[in-house]
Amino acid sequence: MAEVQTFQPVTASEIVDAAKNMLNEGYRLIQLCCTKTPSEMDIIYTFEKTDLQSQNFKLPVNIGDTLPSISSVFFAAFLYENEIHDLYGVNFTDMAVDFKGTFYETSVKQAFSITVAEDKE
Amino acid sequence: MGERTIIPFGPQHPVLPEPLHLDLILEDEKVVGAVPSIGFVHRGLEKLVEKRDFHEMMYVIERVCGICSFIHGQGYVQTIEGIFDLEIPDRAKFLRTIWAELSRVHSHLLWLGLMADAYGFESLFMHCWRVREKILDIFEETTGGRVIFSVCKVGGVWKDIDNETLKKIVEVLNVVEQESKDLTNVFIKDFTVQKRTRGVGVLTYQEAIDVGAVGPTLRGSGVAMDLRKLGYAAYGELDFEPIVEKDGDCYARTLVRAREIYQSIDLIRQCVSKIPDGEIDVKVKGFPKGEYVSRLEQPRGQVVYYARANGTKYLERFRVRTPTFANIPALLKMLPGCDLADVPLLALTIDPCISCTER
Repeated sequence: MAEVQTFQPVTASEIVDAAKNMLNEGYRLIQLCCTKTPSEMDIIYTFEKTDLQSQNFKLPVNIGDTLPSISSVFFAAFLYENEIHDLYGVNFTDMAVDFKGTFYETSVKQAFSITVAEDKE
Repeated sequence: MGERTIIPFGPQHPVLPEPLHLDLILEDEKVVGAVPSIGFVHRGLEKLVEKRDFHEMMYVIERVCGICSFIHGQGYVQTIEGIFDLEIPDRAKFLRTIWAELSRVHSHLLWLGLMADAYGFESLFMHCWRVREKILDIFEETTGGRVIFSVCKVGGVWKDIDNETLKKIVEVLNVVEQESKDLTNVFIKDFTVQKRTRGVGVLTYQEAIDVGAVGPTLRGSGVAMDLRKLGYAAYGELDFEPIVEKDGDCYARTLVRAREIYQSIDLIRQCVSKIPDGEIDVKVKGFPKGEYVSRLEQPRGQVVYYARANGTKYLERFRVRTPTFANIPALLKMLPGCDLADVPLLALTIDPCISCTER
């Protein structure tokens, strides 16, 4: 049977503290995933322990929002944050490495922020 | 302190034919820092979920990589099955495990060949790939394809392997095991190989955890994490422990992959002895609705899939977090302190697949 999963809501002002709590509890970051649907947009933060236990956080965002980077807590976060910036147009402050929009050389800027349904209209 | 120089490495490099770019910061011949760049060939395959039926999308996801293609397909269907909360037949679970472990054997043999090539050890490279051909022949016989198999589907698998063929696979693997021993002995015992790899690119236990390293890169630093221990597919019914080496250097990462070849062969033998008779799929009704995060162990390490579905035939989002993407920060930790001449070899020890990363 499928693993039972929860997506704990978190806000932009809480995310750095939530990341610090995860670090203190022995978790490590395994992914950030941005999702945009016609009705909502959010970022999933997934953390994992060495015993493979995992935890997800869900942070609602909008295109053009500015979020605090968690790369000061989890260094690897800078890759995911640059990716989300280039594909979705969400900004992050204080990233460990800021590629300033050159992480992905896509022909269409913020290509993943346009849904097919919107494209057709 | 010597004068600092920045040397561009890649995206085209004779020893690393993958579009990965590193700006190497050097003091004389020593690397003191590195800044990575990817994104030269980003394909945006994930975006196709908005235009492809969720069943058809399996064939797209398989094409994320030409080496781990089966496990990408398996991860995709497992994620969708997670949303459906669908239990697939036991035989299908064992078949998926057999193909996944065969993929690991062929991936590790391919990687050992590339390592040999990086040393300039051409004959060893050719022998590794010669042995690997036997695995590709098994794929061709059981699925019809050598690279892209298209045997996974939501609810099970498309093709069965009869018990006679399973016995033949074990016989071929006995030969592969023997021939691999001759090859891996060179990687383990040869003085010149050890000279290039021992003490180079050390990633400590804590660094490996902190930077989110995965797979043999993580286990080569002594961290006993292997997603197969979650028990997905048939792994819950198999007896194995993660392969771990403690030194955290290029040699340790090589040893992990060499030993995992034998572990995978053993797992396939266990599968063949335990595989039950029965159906290979269940009927899937309706469309998925919900979201699910799935984690699997690919040859290169942990892969993470996320899917969100709204009850129509198209998914709203499907994401693949590939092992190479996760291992880039680990590479940045390993590089400082090494010689410029060691960089190609060191980069190879994370087994980079930019095809996956540029999904």
